[in-house]
Amino acid sequence: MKKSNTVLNRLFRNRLAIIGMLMVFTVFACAIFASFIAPRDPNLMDLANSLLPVGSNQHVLGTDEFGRDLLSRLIYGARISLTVAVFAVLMGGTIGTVLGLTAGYYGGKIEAVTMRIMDALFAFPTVLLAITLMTVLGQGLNNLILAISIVAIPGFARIVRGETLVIKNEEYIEVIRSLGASDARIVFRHILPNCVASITVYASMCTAGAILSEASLSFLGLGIQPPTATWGTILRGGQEFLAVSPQIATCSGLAILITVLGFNLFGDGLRDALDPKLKQ
Amino acid sequence: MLRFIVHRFFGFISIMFIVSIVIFSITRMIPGDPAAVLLGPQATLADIEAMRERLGLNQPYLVQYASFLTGLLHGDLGTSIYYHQSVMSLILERLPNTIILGTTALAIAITVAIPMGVLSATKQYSLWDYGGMMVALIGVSMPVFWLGLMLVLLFSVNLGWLPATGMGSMKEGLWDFISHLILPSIALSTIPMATLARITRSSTLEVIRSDYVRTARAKGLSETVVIWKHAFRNALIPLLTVLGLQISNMLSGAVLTETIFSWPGMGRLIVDAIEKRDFVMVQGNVLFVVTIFVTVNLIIDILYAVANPKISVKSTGRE
Repeated sequence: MKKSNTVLNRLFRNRLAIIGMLMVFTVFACAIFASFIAPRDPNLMDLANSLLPVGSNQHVLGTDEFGRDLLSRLIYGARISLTVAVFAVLMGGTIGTVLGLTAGYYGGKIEAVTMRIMDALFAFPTVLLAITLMTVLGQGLNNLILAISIVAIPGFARIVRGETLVIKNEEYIEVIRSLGASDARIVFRHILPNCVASITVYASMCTAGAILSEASLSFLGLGIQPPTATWGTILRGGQEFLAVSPQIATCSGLAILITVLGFNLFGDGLRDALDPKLKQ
Repeated sequence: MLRFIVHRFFGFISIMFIVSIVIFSITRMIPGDPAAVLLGPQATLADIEAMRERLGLNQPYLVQYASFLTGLLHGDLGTSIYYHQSVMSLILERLPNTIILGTTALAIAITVAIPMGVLSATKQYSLWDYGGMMVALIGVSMPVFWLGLMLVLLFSVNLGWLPATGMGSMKEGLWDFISHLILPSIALSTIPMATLARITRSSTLEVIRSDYVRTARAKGLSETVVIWKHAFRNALIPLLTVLGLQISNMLSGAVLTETIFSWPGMGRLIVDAIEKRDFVMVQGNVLFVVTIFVTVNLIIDILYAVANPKISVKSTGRE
């Protein structure tokens, strides 16, 4: 209890981490309350008012080529981007954690085979692995989540395995084992809780990466398809109208930047709070 | 040292073997009949059967994999479904363009990141430090394709200083070549630049607190000599590893950067292959890129061990 209080104190003393948290909360709030916040239906077309500039009457950020309200599309875009990122990290994180725990705890051939596969997956540049998976799986929300979660697995597996290797040799684990606790109990009740801090920090950074991956895939036309509003698809659409309506590409990119930066600032702050020695 | 190199080489072989299985399996994950998917709804049964025969899909998986692996060992990445040409020859045609873009971007990244990281470390907790590291954090968080578009918007659309797309030719003069290279290489350099700056700062901070740096200062050497001749040399070692990992980022970034700037490199080739659903081409390109990445990291691992023999002892378990 004392330790968690110290960590929280350190986290809340870090101004950049607070700024990061605020950025993330704002984007989450936009995603959750999109239907209340967005001034218009994000897919409502109004061709008579297409490509309106910033500050136009009733369209604060202007409109796209179909006359759809850009601000509303960006607010709704947060919903898809965060859904993909959060579910992909949850899925990849769960699988990676289980693999890392198993490899680290049992060691031997299980560890050798698991970690070799993880090394091989790690050898793929992330976006390229996601591109390959999406080319094969086809477009769509579920496939996008699946592709990004597969990309996330090796990172979690490596981190959790490393932590497990250290924790399993602690004296208290020996004591618990000698008292007759099962492997599953040792792993899930005693080792996993001690890995949570590292998992949380990595998950925060990984969510930032997942948002970038989702945007990259949608930008390449492999992710979510129009008319659904995502930041990547809005940016892809804005590319064609860069000269006449630069705000489409600019604002959608800024939305991605702010969210990713928020997650990175929070992740950095959390890491420093958990291990102040790393704050260099 | 020889034992370390052999150990690492076997690691390389095993990773490449698993990578080949992963890529082979991924391309077999296409829902339904891959031949029918590739030919589209208008294809006749005879067309589909001919395509299955051509792709070797009628054979058992193990036979298909064995033939895929044999091809790989001979440098054969298959034949492009769309271009009807060898994937390897198409890659080799585009590879020099990606190398030009990648090396320029890496040169920009190193030139900016190292002084920035060293300055942040030597002036820790100053405005330089906070400013530099904030810029680096923004660089890591920025989508490379968005930065590319913003550069086009500013320097091509608004100012008209630089061309927005394409690759220049030396036949048109040196400026034509360089002017086309500036924007894509700046866009591609951002992420490695930001990462390298952060790593340079932390490794320099570690070194400048060590005893030998204090001794160098006590000897009355100037701060420039202490930092650049004594501290930075040792801080450089961890940078090597990170540099290897950045090649992976650059290869990912090249796909997006080359798309934005219509740069005729490997990244553009992959995106074209995706649009045409030429999965043989995608698989060949990805395998080629992964091989480059794993090979570069193998070389860096060996160089790292040469620079620091403790690494080779640790890695082979001889302590």
